[in-house]
Amino acid sequence: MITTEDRARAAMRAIGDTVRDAPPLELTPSAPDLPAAADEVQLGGHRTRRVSLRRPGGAAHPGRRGRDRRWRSRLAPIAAAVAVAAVAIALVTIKDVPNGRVAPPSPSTNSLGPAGTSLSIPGVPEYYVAWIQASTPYLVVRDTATSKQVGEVGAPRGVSLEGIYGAAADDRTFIAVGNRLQDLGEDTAVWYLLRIDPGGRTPARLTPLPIPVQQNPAGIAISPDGTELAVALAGSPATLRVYSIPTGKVLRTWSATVPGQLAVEPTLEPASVAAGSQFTAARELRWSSDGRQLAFAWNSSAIRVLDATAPDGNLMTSSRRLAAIGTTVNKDSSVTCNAAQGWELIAGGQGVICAGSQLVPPLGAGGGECRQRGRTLVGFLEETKDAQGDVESSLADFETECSAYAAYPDGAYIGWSNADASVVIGSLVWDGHLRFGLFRDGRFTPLPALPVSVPVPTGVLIGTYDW
Amino acid sequence: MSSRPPLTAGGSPAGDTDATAGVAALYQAHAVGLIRLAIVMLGDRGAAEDVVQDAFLGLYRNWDGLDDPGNALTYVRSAVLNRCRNALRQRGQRERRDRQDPGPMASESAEAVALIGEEHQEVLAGIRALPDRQREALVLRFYLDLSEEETARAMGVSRGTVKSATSRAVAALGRKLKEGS
Repeated sequence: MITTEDRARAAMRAIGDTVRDAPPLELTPSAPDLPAAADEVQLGGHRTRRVSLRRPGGAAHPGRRGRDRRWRSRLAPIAAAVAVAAVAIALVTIKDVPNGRVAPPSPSTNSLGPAGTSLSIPGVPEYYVAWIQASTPYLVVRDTATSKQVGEVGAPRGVSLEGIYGAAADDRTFIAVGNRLQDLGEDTAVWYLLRIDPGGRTPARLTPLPIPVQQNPAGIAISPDGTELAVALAGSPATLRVYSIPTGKVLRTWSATVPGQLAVEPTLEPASVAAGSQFTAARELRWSSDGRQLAFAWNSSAIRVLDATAPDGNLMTSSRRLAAIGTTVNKDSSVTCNAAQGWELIAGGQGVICAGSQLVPPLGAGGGECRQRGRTLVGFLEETKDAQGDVESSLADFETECSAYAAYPDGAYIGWSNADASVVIGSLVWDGHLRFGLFRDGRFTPLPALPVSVPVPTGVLIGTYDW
Repeated sequence: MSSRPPLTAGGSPAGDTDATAGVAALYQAHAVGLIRLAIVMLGDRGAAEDVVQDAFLGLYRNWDGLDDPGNALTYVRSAVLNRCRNALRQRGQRERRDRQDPGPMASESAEAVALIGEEHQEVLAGIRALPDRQREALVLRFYLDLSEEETARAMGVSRGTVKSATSRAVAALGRKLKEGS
């Protein structure tokens, strides 16, 4: 009898055997060299007008590049022109800074503490927890500013740790999820509270939690006060539950009444999202910083938001669409929210910031001035509603960003953002440079490398890292 | 990490000899195998070659960041997997945007169809319809014959996850093939 495994092997061999040689290796990047830039990056501001790739007056200002532009606050007044769609969209791009992942943090943004203590960066979580891939994965607590290890947590016996989730407001509380390995039958999920106490006798302590969810979760989010846990469960119907962290009691349940999945990333087999992809489970759910709103990715096409205290009920009618995942085509260009590579709920649940990109059209007004038409810019995409709830499309002004484009359209990652998106920890990859650090007030400050082990993920930030 | 200037293999500037030689040697030894891996994932020869070229270019650019050049194959294999995953994702997004039937995502290119025969097409379509993790575990374990440990390193997951993802993949594929027969 031919088994499924045999058939799979034979089919894979058949298609694989059609390849008998490889083309010559070319190590020539398609991108032209960009001039080396200073350690400070200037970011495009928000403008409520259509995207323009022209520089003011049609003149080039090479001297301005990287010097006089600022990433303006999201709260800056937005002109109420061009009201066309439901959200305001702004894409922030960062100029080329070949700082790499290993450069030390800029001392200008750090407040130096006493020897041996954290060098905290105002407004930024002091610690993060990294999941370290190994035969028996383990967790490492590190200082954000220095990357110094402050604690390490091994897996409990018989358990394989699968992920770590943060977001509680005190940046000392995390949830770890593991699989209890079974000799027979399916592995079952097990839950732990990770509390960190840097400088204490036990800098990191893992405590079992009575969360009664045995299937791998499709998404996890912790309430800002660290007392409640939202868990997305795939399957039919897709369900979102809120549990009490100390007791494991179900507090609220919402279920979808229409086919679909709590998923940030497309899948060809919706029912199997329940497998709990390590790559996406940290991207499905977010809790607003005030604790009032819960946001979830739906069908890899939208981010929806609901009142976190709403009574049990219908997931879809209890929530509203907040932002689009994927590509939104505008008249002059298209922007993409790559939510699978990081997003955060901002503005009290009225908007999101997500890893994004913009395709610069090959033709357009002033064509010819920008060499990089037809290229993709990467950055952090904000989608917010205005006060009237009107639909506005507002794209960043790229008039001085002509030469900054992405080698990888998916080169932006968001690991953390504050509540108004004015401070982001993330990474950008383009033109061969991977930049990881802090994006704030128009400045980019490199942070120490995350403890990335081989294999290096697509970006430095994946779901298993969390702040 | 410094930026590497553009160059072609065999024409390395001073200081890049190690990277160029290392990447070129790795390419010579493993490019065909990695293109085969990518074509299993993607079903398209051109896309598979692009993914592998891109992965090697990424390796070259990040050569200095490797803690151990002996890990380069693991790195580039992971890069190929990541890029295949992204390519499938982008293909799916494109198809949804164009409101096309998702068929092409799960089928071979015309060239491949002519070469492999119908009996394998259904199986490959089923493999490509698996969730990312299951598909990758199945391909790495049963096509590349990697050990659970090697597969875990390539996928960035634990051995337990590889074990369960592989068994779930086989079960799901079996169900699909049964449904299709």
